[in-house]
Amino acid sequence: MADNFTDADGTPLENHTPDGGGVPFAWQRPTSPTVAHIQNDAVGYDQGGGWEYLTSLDAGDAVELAVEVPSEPVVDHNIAILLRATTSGTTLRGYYIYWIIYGGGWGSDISIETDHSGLFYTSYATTAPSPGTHSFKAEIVSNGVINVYVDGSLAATVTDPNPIPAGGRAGISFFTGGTGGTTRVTAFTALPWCAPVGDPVADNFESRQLLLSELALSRQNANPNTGQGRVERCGYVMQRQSDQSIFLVAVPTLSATDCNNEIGPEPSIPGASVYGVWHTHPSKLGEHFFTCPNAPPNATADPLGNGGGSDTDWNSALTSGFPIYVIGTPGVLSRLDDAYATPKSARSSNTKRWSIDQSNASHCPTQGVTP
Amino acid sequence: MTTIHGLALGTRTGFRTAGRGTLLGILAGAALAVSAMAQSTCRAADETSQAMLPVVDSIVNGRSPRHQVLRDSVGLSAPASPVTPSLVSSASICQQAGAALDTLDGTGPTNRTLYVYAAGAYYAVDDPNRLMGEFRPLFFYTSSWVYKGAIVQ
Repeated sequence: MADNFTDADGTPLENHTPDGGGVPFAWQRPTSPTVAHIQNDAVGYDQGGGWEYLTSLDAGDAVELAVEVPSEPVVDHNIAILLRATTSGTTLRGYYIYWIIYGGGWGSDISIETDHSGLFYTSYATTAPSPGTHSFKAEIVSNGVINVYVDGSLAATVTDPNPIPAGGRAGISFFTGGTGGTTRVTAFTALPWCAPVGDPVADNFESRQLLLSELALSRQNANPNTGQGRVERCGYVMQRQSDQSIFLVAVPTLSATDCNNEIGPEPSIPGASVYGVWHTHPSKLGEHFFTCPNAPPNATADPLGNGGGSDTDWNSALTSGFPIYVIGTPGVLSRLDDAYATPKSARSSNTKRWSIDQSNASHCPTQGVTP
Repeated sequence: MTTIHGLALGTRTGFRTAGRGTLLGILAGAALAVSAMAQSTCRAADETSQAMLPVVDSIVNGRSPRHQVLRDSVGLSAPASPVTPSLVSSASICQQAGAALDTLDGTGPTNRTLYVYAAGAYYAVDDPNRLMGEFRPLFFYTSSWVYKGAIVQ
């Protein structure tokens, strides 16, 4: 979900059709009496006072705003990202993650609060933003850690001991400490919501995006009669030691064909260690192999069989100590754990398999695959 | 398969070829031919065969679109009524299966120990030492040993 607020001046935000994203949604004003109006393709101070808007759809756990600071603010600006927000009557609950930009050159703060758990956190001594457009981003990682970034730099990290359950809407809250104010929000981007399936890779939007991208780069859609350019691709699943969140990296193969690959060494990334390994199986159901060594004539692929991995993949899960993730066509992600590796008959019962929705921008995972 | 750096797992399997004929063997004449193609043997029932029997069953009998695609890809016909696959223990059938794989691979006679599954009008042959890349293909033949194709999981 995204919005660049492109519309005629004076358009109430609830009448505006968000532009710039792949998931259609609308802005809703469940509690705020003040209507925000678009001015010069942005939203900001409005004569009615402060305002709050939520997305009409549930959102994922990350929102990024583009905040334009035309000049040194004269008044205080309180710009908040709302995450996991829900409404009951006129009560809005959720995480309010503020970027407070003080007037008169007094700098800025990050403040994170919710009445769900009583969490209240304020950072101090954050520098004043320079004139220009800045990135303000908040995210909740899988274990309830809230990270806040300004211009890509981590500005605050807070752990809520009693986190709000996943789900709910995203939103923007905006008010100023006096009349006027020129700082504006020029863009909004939120991860689309997906029901969690309980796996750190499958539940991670960026990971799903990368795996589907790598599957495309593996030429899953190569001409089935030639398989031209089709090749397995691979990489590592990395885990940050600070908050146990994961991210994927692609690495060059030392050698690869349409049925195997040899992965290069793991990257040295400070503060992160290897959590697992991933690779693609680019051949679709019933398609032939073309560069595979020792492939017999008329060998055809069944990427959904054997629990999602070859016997060699399963052996890798057993011997490496890492989970092996395989993304196979048509967009099925399988996690091979040693718990399912033996006996061999257990592999076909592997439940750690998810269909990745390729039909829209969310790429949500769904438990299981069609046999 | 991903061969993990520093934790490399072999993916290739060499083929053992039969020894050259000796004088005694050459003198044996016709018996040599039988002997040369009669070196492959059956594997006994085990965990692998128990796991593979349902796979063969689903490929041959399955009614889902996926199973139809798989059958079509190697030219198998669905049976009129479901058949019950079984693990073959007949030495002569396993010898013929080994000879069929030898022909397909273009090798001389080899000593293979095979899982051979009978499934109606077809045999499915699994040679655990016969890898293609990271995969182990399941070879399908007619009952008269006409090669149909390999399905790779």
